[in-house]
Parts: sequence; C-alpha cells; structure tokens
Amino acid sequence: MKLRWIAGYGPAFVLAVVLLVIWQLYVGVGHISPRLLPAPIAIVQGLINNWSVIYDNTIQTLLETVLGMVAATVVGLVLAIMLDASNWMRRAIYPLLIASQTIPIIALAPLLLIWFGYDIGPKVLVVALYSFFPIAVACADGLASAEPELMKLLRSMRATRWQMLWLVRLPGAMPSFFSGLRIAATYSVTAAIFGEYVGAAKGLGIYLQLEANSFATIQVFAAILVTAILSLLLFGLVSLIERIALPWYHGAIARTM
Amino acid sequence: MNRRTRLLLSIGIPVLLVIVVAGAFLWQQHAAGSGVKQSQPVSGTLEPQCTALTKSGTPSTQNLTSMSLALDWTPNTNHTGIYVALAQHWYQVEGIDLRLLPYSASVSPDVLVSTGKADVGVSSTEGIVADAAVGQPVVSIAAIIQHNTSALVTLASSGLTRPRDLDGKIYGAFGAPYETAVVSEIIKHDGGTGQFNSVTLDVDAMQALESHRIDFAWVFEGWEVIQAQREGYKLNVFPIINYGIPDYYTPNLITSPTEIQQKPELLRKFMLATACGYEYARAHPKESAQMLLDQNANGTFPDPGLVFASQNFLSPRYADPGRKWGLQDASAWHGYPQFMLNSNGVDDASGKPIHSLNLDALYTNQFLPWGS
Repeated sequence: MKLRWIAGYGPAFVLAVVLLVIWQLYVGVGHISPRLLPAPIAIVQGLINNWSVIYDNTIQTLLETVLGMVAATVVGLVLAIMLDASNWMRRAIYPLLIASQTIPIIALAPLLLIWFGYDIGPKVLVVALYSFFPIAVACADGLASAEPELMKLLRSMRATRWQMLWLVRLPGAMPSFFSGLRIAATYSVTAAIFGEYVGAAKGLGIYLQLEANSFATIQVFAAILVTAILSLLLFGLVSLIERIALPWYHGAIARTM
Repeated sequence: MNRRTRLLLSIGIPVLLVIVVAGAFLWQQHAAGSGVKQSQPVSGTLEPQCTALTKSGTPSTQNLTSMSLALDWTPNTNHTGIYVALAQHWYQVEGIDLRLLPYSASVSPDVLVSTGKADVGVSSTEGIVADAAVGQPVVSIAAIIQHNTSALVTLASSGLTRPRDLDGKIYGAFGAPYETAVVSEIIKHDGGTGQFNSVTLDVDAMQALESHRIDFAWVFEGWEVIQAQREGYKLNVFPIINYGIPDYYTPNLITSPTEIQQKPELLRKFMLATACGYEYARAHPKESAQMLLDQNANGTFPDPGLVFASQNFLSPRYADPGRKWGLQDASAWHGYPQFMLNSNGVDDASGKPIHSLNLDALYTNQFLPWGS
C-alpha cells in the first residue's frame, strides 16, 4: 500500500525533475546572468553554504508560523461553532467575517507596526489573520451539512444540542475542517514572511530583503526554496494528522477510487 | 489504532511541533547571545571633542537612557558612523542605550519619528520637505553625506551616452512625486526635450536595467554603481548634480520638534557619539567598514568586498576636506528643496501642490559637537 502511495506521486516527481533540468540547461546554455536567474544547482549550493544563517532565520519564521496556525485553528473552530449555533448568529457574524477578508492587510501593516512594534506578536497576528478564515468557513460548511436523518434520529432520542454537536456534527465536519486547515497551512509561511517584511530584526522575510538589497539573487532563491519546503512540510503534516484522525474517511476514499 | 490513540496523536503531533520549534528558537537565542563580536578599539588621532569618549575604560551599562533610531534601509555604508559608535560603546559612555529599529518597507522613519515611536531616524532631504508640507514636521539634525551621490545610469552597451539621449526612453521609477521633475530637468539641461516614459518598479532597478526592461535608472554611486563595477559590466553614469540639479544632503539624521523641546541634552550626547563615529569613518574606511560588518548579524552582507569598496567611495564624501561632519548650510537647504517646490514635486495633506515652505525650520546644527 505504501509503495502504491509513493508511486501515486511519480508523475509529479518526474515533472518536477524535467522542469528543473530544463531550467538548469536554459541558464547554462543561454548564459543568463546569475543575478537575473540563478541555476537550480547554484541555488542548492547557496543554500548549503549559507545554511547556518538561513537556519537562524528559518527557525524565527517557523515559530511565527506555527504559533499563528495554532491561534488560527482555535479561532477558526470557535467561530465555526458560533456560526453554527443559531441562524441569528450566522446572519450576524458571517458578513463581518467576509468583510474582514476584504481588507488588504498591506494597508493595515503600518498600523500593526506602530501599535504592536517589532516583536514576534504582530507576525503571529498576521499569520492568524490570513489563516483563520479558510478554517472557519470550511468547518462551518461541514457543520451545516450534517446528515438530516442522523439529526432526526438524535432528536427523537432527546439528545441535547451539545450531544448532537459532539456526536454527529463535529465528526461529520472534520473532513471539511481539514480541507480548510490544509489551505491555511499553505498560506501560513508566506503570511509570516509578509509580516516580517513590515518590520522585524530577523526571519526569512528579513533575510530575503537583506540579500535582495545586496544583489545576492542566489541567496534570495535559496530562501524561497526554504519557504516552499516549509509550506510543503506543513501541508504534509496536516494531511498526516488527517489520516490519523479520520481513518474511516480515507478508507472510504480509497475504496471508491 | 483505537479512538483514544487517534485523538491523542492528532492533538499530540501539533503540540509536539510547537514545543520542538519553540525549543529550537530558545536554544538558538541562547547560542546567539554568547557570540557577539568584539571590535578593535580605535587608534590614531581623534577630534578633540571625541577624545573624552575613549578614555574611560569599559563604560557602565547601568542607568542608561534608552533611545531608539529608525533606519531608512537595510544596514549599509550610509550608516557606518552609527555602527562605529556602537562598536566602540561611545553611546554608553554618553549614558545612552541605543536601539536600532530595523528598516520597514511600509513605515518610514519619518512616521516613526514624528509619532514618537523613535527618537531619531535616518531620512532624506526629499522626505523632510514632504513631511513639512503635509504637517508632519521633522527636523534634520545632521547631513550624513555632504554631497548628493546619486546618478542616472544606462548600460554602456545601450549607446545612450548622454542625458539628452534619454528622450523617449523608459525610466525605471521608484514612485516618488518629485522624480519626474528631476529626471526631466537633467535631460533638458543637456539639450533634450525632457520627455520620457516611466514604469514604477518595486524591484531592483539594476536587475531591470540589466535585463533590458528599462533603459535608465536613478541609483546611488556608492552602492549600485560599485556593485556593477564588481560584477564587471559597464555603465554610463550621469551624476545628477553635474546636470543642473542643485546639490543637497542625503541621507540626513532627523528628530521631531517635540524631541528637540523636551530632550535637547540627550540629542546633544547622541550627536557627540554619532559625529565622532562618522569622523572616525572618514579617516579609517577599512576599520570602520569592518565594524559595520562585525556589528551586524551573519548574512547581512553576503559580499563583504562590496562593503569595503563602498566605504572607500563614501568615506571621503561624508564631508569635504577641512570641513567637519554633519554641518548643514542654508544654501543647500534653499537650493534643492526650492527646486522641488517650483516643479510641483511637493503636495500638501490634501494632495495639492504647494510652492513655498519655511525651509530654515527644516534643519539645525545646534546638536553637533562643533556647534553651528
């Protein structure tokens, strides 16, 4: 089963390798200046040569991301349950929730800096602001789509509101919740980097800025590579937890396929 | 796996992740704290005003007044004097615990200084004039570089060998309201019509130039032009002050009028340490560039050679021979700012261009150790 699972990613792997080879050849044959587009091998070398510095900055960014994701998950879950609690709550909160996502954070960035300063706090806040929305919306949709027959059954047995939530609706909403979480995980690292761009002493965002201002394009790409790997790892971790938490769901998917 | 293990694992894995990351973070902070590089003490003769700074052994770190300085860009050779004073503990000798606020792409030092979030900052003549026009006044307390070192550049291979060739070409702009007026004036001064196309870039103008997306850009000789030389490609360089633009100070050290009223003594002490740092950097490019490198985290300067080359260029330009660092003249503060005002380059808070300002209120030499 494991082999088949790995083989499932074969086409993606082949495509990635082909693209990297084309990239490497294009840079080599076309004599592209490494300041405009460095070759993949040069980027990996740059990453290895500057690993201690990049690691320092990566840990900072990763901490911001992870804390922000935890905050976003808690806030997202609570909001989803509140949205689901009553029709009145849904009508009151949902429009505000959507409006909150239309505010360009880039416009709020200066205020964030002036209010909260240069510490880790505002970066965690930016990550949470970016990430809670997909979690809340997906989870709320999952809660709302509980099977009507099951609800009828529970009601006939005089189950309380909380029992219905705990026994049927929340477990039923978990697949949607994890979809939301995966989307949030993909964005979260970029959100942390954006938070650092606003003003910070350290982090991948700052490293990107320093290297760009010193014309070190290879190191800029090395930092981008780290960002991509971090995002993929977080995405993978969420998928792993989903597999552990919802074996019946994945079993069902595998059977239907 | 039963239900309980599954629940435990689903909660345990994220908790474990947070603990591991937080642990790595704390461990690394612990490790970083013990690795601060020590710079060599200064040698050679110093200005008479500065000798007192070096006499008193290791200064106490207690009872210091904390002070913050907002940087205008990632650390570079414009900031060397500040880093020299930090490396030599001169701020501590003066009773100041100086914190540097890192550069922010979205909040200018001018805003931080005028809202009181920073005591002093690094800004430019353009910024100070624009601030005064919108009623957010800041005051220049020193000129960091006495002459303007910016220039329009083209690739040597482009065949654009003088400013008048730039008519109808593409300019890579950085989005300031005054730059069209300046570029147009330079072209006209050389006999062109001053008509050109511009695209506003948020990327390195030199990259855009090298990839032929733009024909010319406005950059600093002490950084971008030196970098181009190091990479071995040729540029045509038109220093703006050679083509009819009045010379001006940039960058400048700024503070707010409130700060001047409330903490003049602190500013005087800050300026003594800073001015001595820049005077040392004028005479010792190599040693001061080394201090700039040592005082910043690893990775700040991927190419130390660029820092040394840039410092060699800038050190003699911090001030002319025989003149003390930081001093500002009325003529410079009336020349370029008035040019900006005349060319509709300055808007008030409602966005309407204004044509006069009290330019003498924009600068003061009173905090420099050598008086006005």
